[in-house]
Amino acid sequence: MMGAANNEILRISGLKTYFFTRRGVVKAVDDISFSLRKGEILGLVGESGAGKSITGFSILRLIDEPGKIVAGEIIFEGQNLLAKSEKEMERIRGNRIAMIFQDPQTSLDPVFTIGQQIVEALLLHQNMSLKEARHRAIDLLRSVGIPSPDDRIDDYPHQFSGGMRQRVVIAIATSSNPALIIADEPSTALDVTIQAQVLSLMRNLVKHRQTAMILITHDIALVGQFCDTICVMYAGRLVEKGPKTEIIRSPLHPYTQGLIRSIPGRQQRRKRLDQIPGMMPNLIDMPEGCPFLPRCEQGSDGCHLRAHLEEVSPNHWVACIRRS
Amino acid sequence: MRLTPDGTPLLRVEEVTKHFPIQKNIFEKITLKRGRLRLLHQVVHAVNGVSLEIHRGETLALVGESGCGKSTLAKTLLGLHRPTAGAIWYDGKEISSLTGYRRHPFQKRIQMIFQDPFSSLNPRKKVMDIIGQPMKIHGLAKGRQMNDRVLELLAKVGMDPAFASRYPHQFSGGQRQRVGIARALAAEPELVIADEPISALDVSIQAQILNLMMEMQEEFRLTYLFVSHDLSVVKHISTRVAVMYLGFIVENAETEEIFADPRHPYTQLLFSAIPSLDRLEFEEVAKIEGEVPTPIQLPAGCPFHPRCQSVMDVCRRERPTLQPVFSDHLVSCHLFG
Repeated sequence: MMGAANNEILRISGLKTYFFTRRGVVKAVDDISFSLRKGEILGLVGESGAGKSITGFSILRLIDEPGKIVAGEIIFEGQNLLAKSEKEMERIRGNRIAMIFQDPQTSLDPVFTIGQQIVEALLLHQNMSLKEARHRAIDLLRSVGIPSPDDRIDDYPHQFSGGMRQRVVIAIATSSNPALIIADEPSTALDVTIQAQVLSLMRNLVKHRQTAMILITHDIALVGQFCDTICVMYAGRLVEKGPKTEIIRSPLHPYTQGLIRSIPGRQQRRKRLDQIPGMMPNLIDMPEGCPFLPRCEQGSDGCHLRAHLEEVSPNHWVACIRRS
Repeated sequence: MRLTPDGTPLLRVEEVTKHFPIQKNIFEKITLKRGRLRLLHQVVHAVNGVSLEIHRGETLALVGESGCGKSTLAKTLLGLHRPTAGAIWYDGKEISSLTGYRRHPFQKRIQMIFQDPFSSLNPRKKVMDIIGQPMKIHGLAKGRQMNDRVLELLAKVGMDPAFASRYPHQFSGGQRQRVGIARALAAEPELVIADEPISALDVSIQAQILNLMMEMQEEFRLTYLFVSHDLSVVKHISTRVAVMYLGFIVENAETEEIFADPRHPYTQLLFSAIPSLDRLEFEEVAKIEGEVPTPIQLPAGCPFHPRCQSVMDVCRRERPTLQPVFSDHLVSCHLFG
């Protein structure tokens, strides 16, 4: 395999996830391609409804009716996940690919203790006895910085604070030593100082074990610090991808430029902020052309044709007719 | 207290305290302890002796993490909560003890913009009625005149006047927040309290709403109390920042001053935890330890001492008071005592 040679762990090409609703086809994810190496942290940025989470769910094949993955390939560790049976997927989910959700309140079951939930995950994917699993669970809780894990393992989720609960979720996600972790807004529900703690913890775990990670977020400043690579999504399409310094310091797509310019705190105080006019279009029956055209100040006639991602400088890809 | 050229502040908050009892009735209060029945009386110390001033034309930002009491303080100022202790002076009059028709004129002068544009608009009312309501209540306009004023306000907040006959569910989050702003402006207020007005919106919409708020401030000469946890927004929009922790104000200074030279260890911690585009390297924030203690049992001494890096013996015993470090920069910390 060519992928194995350069440590490639995930390659998505031409992924299309559509939702067939009564009012029309929603192209939630429309022809997306990117790849991920071992130990790499990729930030998937965009507004709500841009298709970030659906991309994450598509990788795990967790798309419910009326949604459907209509085209593309998801090559994970050399195998196409879209060709797997549901049974094979069950062995991958939570084992080789783990997911961390936004709200630790709802991703833990309130009627089971923390210990029961971690042990369940361990027994499901690993061959160990109940006693071993419990020991391992205590170790995991210690590794994510829960004080006195021997006592807290028998507590229920409501006895933990939001930050501590997210640590427990991280412990469960890393319990099977996955090759890929998909984290969907893992720190959005947390307070800033707690967010910093949880992100440090996640980054340490991931970098230490060479786990690849996809961080889904709307916070471009966070991505700038936390990730290695950035993919910017807009209305179901990937509009720009590249190394983080390139994207943050010299963004090429007008949407990325607008996003970065409109962040307050770096412009002259108490003056009008640069803003992107308008809002994201309705995804039902979108026109083929550039989705950002109605809000773009640099648009021209050529923008009515579809722009594909093109490499404009090494590793820096942009989907804009005017850049290629 | 701060000396200003224009004399009386628009709003002066004096040692305001708000505690919420946890046990509501006698049955919840009774507990069995060492074989004896006891009466429990616990309270949530949401706001603890807060003093601050807002001057005309200022934008005071109230910053802090969730649960630090910033929203409770905002609601107390608005009259939605009665303070447990302390006084609120508005334009030279004490308003916290006023009720009914005596309070009514002040309700008009202080308006609020809420965080969640989805739950703060009545889904059964048309935009026309939502924005017209404050005018009716305060007797500012009615009938034809009211309709004209509503259309005018809609245009001011950047919406098509034709939207007046629509319902809230027909709008996006950003548009709803514009309606919320128009409703606040309808009462022709002087002070607008904005509780996290943009945190529920998408990134590209946030800048639009911030711009709108700044335009409206200029046009109607508004004074803002801006409650937020987003420091980059605060840095941009405010003239003064008050940092809250566990119901106490720990630092209060002019915006440029506090961002250039934060003094309180908690302010420093808070500022260092915020990701910014200025530095792209991931910085280990190992110094951040522990979590915010419960406001039911406040720590003795300084409320921040269990998490503080430079904790001294005195911090565990004595509660510091808000003192000026320089003329106008107030810090509540024994390091500067």
